[in-house]
Amino acid sequence: MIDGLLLGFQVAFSFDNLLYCLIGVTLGTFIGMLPGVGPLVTIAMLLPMTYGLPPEGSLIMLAGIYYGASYGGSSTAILVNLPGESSSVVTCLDGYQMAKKGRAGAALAIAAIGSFVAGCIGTLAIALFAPWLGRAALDFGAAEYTALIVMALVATSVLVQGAFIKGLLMALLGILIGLIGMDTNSGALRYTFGLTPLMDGVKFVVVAVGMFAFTEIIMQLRSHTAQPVEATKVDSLMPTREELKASALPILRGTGIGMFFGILPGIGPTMSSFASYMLEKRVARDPSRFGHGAIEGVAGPEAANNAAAQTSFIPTLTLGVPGSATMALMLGALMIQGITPGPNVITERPTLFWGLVASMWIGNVLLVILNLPLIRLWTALLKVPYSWLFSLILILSCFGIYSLANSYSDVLLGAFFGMLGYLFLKLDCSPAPFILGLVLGPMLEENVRRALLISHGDPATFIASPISIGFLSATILLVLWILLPAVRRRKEKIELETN
Amino acid sequence: MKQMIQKTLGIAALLAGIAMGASTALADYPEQPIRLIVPFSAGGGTDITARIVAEDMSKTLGQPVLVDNRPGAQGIVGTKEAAGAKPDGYTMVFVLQATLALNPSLYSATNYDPIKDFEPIGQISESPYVVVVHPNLGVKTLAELITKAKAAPGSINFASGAAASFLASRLMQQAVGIELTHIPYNGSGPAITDLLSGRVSLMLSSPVSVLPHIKAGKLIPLAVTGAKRSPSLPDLPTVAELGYPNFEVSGWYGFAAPAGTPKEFIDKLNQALVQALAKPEVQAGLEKSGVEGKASSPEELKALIASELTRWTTMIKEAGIQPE
Repeated sequence: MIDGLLLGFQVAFSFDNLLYCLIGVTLGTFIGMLPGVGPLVTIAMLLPMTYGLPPEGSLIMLAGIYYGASYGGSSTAILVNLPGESSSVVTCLDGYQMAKKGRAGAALAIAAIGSFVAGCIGTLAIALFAPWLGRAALDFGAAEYTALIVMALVATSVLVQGAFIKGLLMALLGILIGLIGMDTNSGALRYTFGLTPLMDGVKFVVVAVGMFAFTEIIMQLRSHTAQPVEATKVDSLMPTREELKASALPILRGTGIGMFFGILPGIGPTMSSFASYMLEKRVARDPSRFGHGAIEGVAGPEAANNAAAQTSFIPTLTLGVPGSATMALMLGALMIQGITPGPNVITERPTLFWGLVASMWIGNVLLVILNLPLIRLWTALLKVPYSWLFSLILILSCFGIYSLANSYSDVLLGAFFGMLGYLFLKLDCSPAPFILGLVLGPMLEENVRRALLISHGDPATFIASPISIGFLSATILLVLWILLPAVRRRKEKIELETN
Repeated sequence: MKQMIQKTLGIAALLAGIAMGASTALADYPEQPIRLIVPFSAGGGTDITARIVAEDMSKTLGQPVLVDNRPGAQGIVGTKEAAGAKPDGYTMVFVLQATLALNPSLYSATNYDPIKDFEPIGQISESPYVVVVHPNLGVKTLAELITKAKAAPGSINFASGAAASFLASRLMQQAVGIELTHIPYNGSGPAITDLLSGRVSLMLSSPVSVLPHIKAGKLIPLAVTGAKRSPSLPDLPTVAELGYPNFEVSGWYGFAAPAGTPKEFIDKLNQALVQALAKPEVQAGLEKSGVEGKASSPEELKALIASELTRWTTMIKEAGIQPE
């Protein structure tokens, strides 16, 4: 392992590869800030250019774009409530609130630090456990995913602010919208009302940009302020000692969660950032701070999505199983170079594997160097008059949404969700359970049906493996944990009343 | 008389002008970039294939062939856009089995006519499937699979990542007389993951995605579904060789133009396409992206589209699958 890492650093520290790494992460940071324009599109466009590069260089650059994007996506989420990447939707919840309170610098710094720590630990984990973790990904089938998603959905209840029933209904509405489009099993069209653009379902990015960025713009326009009053007073750029202390544990927990979710094909960074947020809110001494600028709500999810971005390379490299469309492209890039990823890639192509691992660590260092000095610049962006800033955000968002599928209807749909988000805010309904329902609902349906199909209709399949049993027991514990404070409160209330 | 001469001259000049105009139009064609509509997302397998051929055609034609990704609704959105485009020789569309032969019977949303709306330019590739099973199933040949499947109909599961692979599997089951249970997936990636873990036992896959797993001994190949053996697995027999002589199923890709595009332009585009596919580097690029390069004339592609449309429409109707 040590030999491997040494070899890796030799490869990654060559002038060419350092340059490819720098190009990759810089490009990644910028495209990460643009909504819709994600690593998928960028890598797809750059792929033909990499034919001429050596395999190490091309993979190092493409990987840099990938994790650089998950880094950059958080900057716009914090500054202007615009999730540049789907994995940074969660960062909007508290990061933007921090910015509104004049703590944009601290939020950006914590996001950078959290990502860096997670990146370092994630890289080390790949170096230590890659082959073993790769096999673990195969242990997750439809039944295991079902148990995991059920646990996540139950945990959603902590995301709910205010009335519990309202939150539940929001999650259900999210699920309904998530089910729009063609059913995988039967090919049946659901809730499309005969509209062809809805046949493929509603894209997550369209909803995220609509409900966060567009809604925020509508809100601000309503308040008649020509100048961002609150945001102009940026206290200090760096987080305070207390903020750093409060973030330490969330970063570590987020890293752990991110590493776990990253390995699972199809789950990835978005889920991991939600999971981390829910955990932080659950363990917080004062959960009511969340949604109003809690630094833990930025630190944890940011660490989680970066750790997940790193570990999602494990199944791709060691099994040849891509966990996402972006990873499938990476796999394509390798195959074009004549390398077939699989169990033997570490022994057959040590320079490639270890070079990539080492370059990920270097890339994370470069990202911090790149991002920390830029914080001053980004926060200065908040002093730009709203009339300019909003027009720019609107144009960039529409451009980003359009570029997803070169489709006008997606832009209109984004506008629709902007209006819907405004309505939700006015009715005091929090968007978080809605977004989670949108992501998890279709996944749950797909996996339940697949598990039952594979088992020929036998429901015992859901408790057939130790993994499923583990998650389901954890779910039961979670339910008890959620119910307990309520019971305790009631008891206290009764005691108070009897006194 | 004078008037008549003038008139005749005038008409002659006019005719000459038209003739000259036409010939210069053909000689100068293409004068501007040509749009190639790909009805799927950038970066997918179809997109990469299209780009490899388009890039080489650009060199021959002297004008860039620009890929315009119009994904949506199983390729219906982009294909419809092409059907309605101006037939001036500056729009091409990437056509394939799924959009022209399957969609009309599978989805009532299909709003184009695969025959009437398009002028075929030429085929670019052919892609047979390889039948692979997980070692846990305990079969090593197609004959063993058939015996095992006949002993307990419906007990063996097969995975598919798209409609084309599912229908090809159905066709194979019909041909060899077995019945398997279908487990659908969104894309071949997750399907192969479950196949590798042994949760599902069988799949018809493109050779390139399962080749490393076959070499590592994680999956066992039983047969290829094409008319001839696959160059990447030369020892593997075809289904036809194994006693089902008429069985052949392959995916195919091609380029077409909107109906009404002048024949001269179609021929010029076909020449560029045939030239591209004659080059070893284009062939190698296509092979890496998972398909075998195969050029054809406009007439051959036209015949292929017609026969495939009939074949799949009949098959889908017989299988009792209703259009959605």
